[in-house]
Amino acid sequence: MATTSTRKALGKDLIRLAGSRAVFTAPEDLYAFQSDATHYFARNIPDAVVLPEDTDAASAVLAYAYEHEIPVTPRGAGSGLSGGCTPVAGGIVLDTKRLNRILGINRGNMTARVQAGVVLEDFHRAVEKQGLFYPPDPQSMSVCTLGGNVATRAGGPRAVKYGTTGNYVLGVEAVLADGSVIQAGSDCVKQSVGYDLTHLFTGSEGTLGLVTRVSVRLLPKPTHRRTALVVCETPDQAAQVVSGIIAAGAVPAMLEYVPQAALSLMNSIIRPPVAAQGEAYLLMELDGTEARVAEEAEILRSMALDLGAEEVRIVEDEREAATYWKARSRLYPMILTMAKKVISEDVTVPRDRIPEFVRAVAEISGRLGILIGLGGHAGDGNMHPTILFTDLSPEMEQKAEAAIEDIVKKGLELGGTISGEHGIGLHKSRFLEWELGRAQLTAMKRIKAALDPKGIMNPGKLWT
Amino acid sequence: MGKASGKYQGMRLEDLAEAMVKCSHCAFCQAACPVFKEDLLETHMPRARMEIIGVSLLDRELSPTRRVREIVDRCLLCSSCTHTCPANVPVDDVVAAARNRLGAKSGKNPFVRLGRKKFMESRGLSGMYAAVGRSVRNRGLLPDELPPIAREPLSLAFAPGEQPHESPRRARAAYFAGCATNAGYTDTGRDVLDVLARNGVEAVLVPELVCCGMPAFAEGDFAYAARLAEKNVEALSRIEADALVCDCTSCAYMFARKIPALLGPDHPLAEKAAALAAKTAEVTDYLARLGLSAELGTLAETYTYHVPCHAKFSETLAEAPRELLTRIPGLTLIEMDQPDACCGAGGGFFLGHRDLSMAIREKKLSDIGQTGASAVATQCPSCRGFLSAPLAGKTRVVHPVTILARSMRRA
Repeated sequence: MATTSTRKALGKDLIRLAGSRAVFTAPEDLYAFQSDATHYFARNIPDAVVLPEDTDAASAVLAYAYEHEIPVTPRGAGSGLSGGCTPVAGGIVLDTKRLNRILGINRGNMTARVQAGVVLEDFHRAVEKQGLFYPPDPQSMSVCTLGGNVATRAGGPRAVKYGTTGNYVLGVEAVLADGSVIQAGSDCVKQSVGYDLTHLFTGSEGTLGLVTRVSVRLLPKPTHRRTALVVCETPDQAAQVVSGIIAAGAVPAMLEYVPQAALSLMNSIIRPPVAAQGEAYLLMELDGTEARVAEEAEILRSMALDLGAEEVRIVEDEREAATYWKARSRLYPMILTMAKKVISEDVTVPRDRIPEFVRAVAEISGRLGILIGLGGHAGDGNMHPTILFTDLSPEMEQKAEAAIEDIVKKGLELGGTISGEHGIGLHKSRFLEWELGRAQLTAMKRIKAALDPKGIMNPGKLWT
Repeated sequence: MGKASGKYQGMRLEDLAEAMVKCSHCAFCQAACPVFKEDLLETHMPRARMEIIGVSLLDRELSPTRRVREIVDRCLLCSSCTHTCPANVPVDDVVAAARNRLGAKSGKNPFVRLGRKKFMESRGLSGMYAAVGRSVRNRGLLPDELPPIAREPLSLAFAPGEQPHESPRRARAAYFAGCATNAGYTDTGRDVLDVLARNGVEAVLVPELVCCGMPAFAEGDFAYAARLAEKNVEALSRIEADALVCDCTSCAYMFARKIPALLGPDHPLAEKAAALAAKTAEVTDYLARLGLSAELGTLAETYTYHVPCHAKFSETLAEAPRELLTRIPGLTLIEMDQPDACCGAGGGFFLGHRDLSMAIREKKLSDIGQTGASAVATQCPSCRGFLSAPLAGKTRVVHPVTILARSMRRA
């Protein structure tokens, strides 16, 4: 960490480049930038925070940092779960929140251009006003930014039918480590021009440069939506229902697996609360035309009941349905309040391997004698085994580490991936090679070295 | 202030530390904070405010510098973060307790001190103080956004005790007129009494009431807020009533939530404060629950409803005026974009943070304008004053109870 005097000198230089409104170097201000939505990765305060209001300012700051070899950590809302935006090496936090203009929504072309700091919910509202639809929603849309979504390839419950952020990104403007600016991709749905740098930056977690602008494709807004809750006797049965209904041709827009304990928490928001009589629940939203929604609801009802589900409840009242989804989006923060420390995993397996994965997590939990909750976006196989710490002892930490390792190994064994949507950041870097293999990891490191030879961009993330 | 002790036992920063560590860092409070949304600086979001309060006032890792004070002061105390927090961290209490720890800021100037004391102890200016206030105001020396100074406060215009009402009597309620209503927007107070009477509610006006204490609480002057609370709790507890009805959402929030927490469970008045809290309701919330018995006459007018921030403590409060107003024949309620977004007033916050408050207000004014409504309904007198000034001559701002009263008088 820099001394007070070098920090002051750094501040002066940055003010010259980005303006006094954009630069913060007082320790009182820097405290806020240590962490993301996890507190256990808060290890260091940065030496300066810069909030550029345009690409030029961001470019000037990066060129300066490159020249002086100062680490730069890009930041969106600070709502991530992998430690990706934490400034572990000090240096400059480059915060995109003031790059917050929606530059254009093109109805005819069904695309939009936004600056990186636009809040996802604001963007959803803006496109929906025009009858359009941008499906990705990582369940933090009231705060998370489009730039952060692109950097982490954010997912969320709609992936089952609509895919994740990566499926919508058509182009990015990015500032490279040395300050040069590239316009990758375009507003065209079809592109076949050289390397696909757009999607190289998507999911790059700020290690290759700073994404300042994004072009995304849009869909027509579905005219009808309906929420359904399936009450199941066992987690195994719930997993069978998931595979069953999708195989039968009903693909819900969202399909969430909610264990009983989680539903009890959600009941503090669901109005009227649900009588929690089943062991496992599937919360889903069907969308499309009125006829299609009715048809899928029928498939869902008959298939779920055939497989032995206790009840299929179609929530007709829209306001009531909204409380289910609000409760779902608050579930993770509510779980966080239940234990001394909580680690949420996002191992993803092919949908048809969910029952095996559920059984394996239960086995790991029993064998190590620790609490592991398990919910998740069952529709796309993205599960969230959640380790609840009853204390903060070294033994507990060790058991949690062992559990994560076992969970990750099991996920890979089932043909899955170590992160479905949170990204690697600091959290999963030690498992990266398990999934990628030595050769692929080396290839990635070469790409990194080519684009950021001095290694100033988000050091310590992806790998150390 | 007689026997009142001003002893507060709740809300010490140390006692709140346990609640503070429940913050999971989820960041959802960013979306709730009007100050953050304007500044877009994480230091000015509730999560960071609490963190800074923790390191500087509890852990003493950092000395409480002027910048710390600034961060703690740059909060409207709107309570939106508290009511958004999935972990139920009482962030507004933490900020108020931090202000308490840092020492109340105002009160250095003896004239301001005296004026403030007189204001809170007689629920607004009256007599000589009102005359002085009016003359200062007439010379343009007071911001337009402050409520007017009435010729005669409600507490003098109406005799204390039981007020007449329609038969049969359906309920009996103590009516607490907040300072801004008692001595400023007296139309609201008269309409509360009229609507209660028409609906068979026997209103009781209690003598010896003082300010609910919210302004002192917000400044962190807990001793004074507790003195005011003790006086009110004692006076109101002497009255047999089914409910304590407030016209102002912040007074209701104070009685329903803050006073019991401030006095603490071991205070001699704790039980009485809790009993009052349980029966406290804002007037439209109260009426919506009780049901209207008076007839409603036609009002061919369009309104939009601005939800005051302090409505959030009650699950039904924001819906109550909508439910009542939409029953009025001929009346159209047009929802604005984000009706529950803050207007920027924050009680008296706007007096010390003018640019910030006005920037927050800009968005609200644009949302109001886009509805095309001819008037705005809102229960909070601070919102009313702050929105009335720029809307003067174009769009009226009134308490929803006034709209109900006019409709009932037409029936």
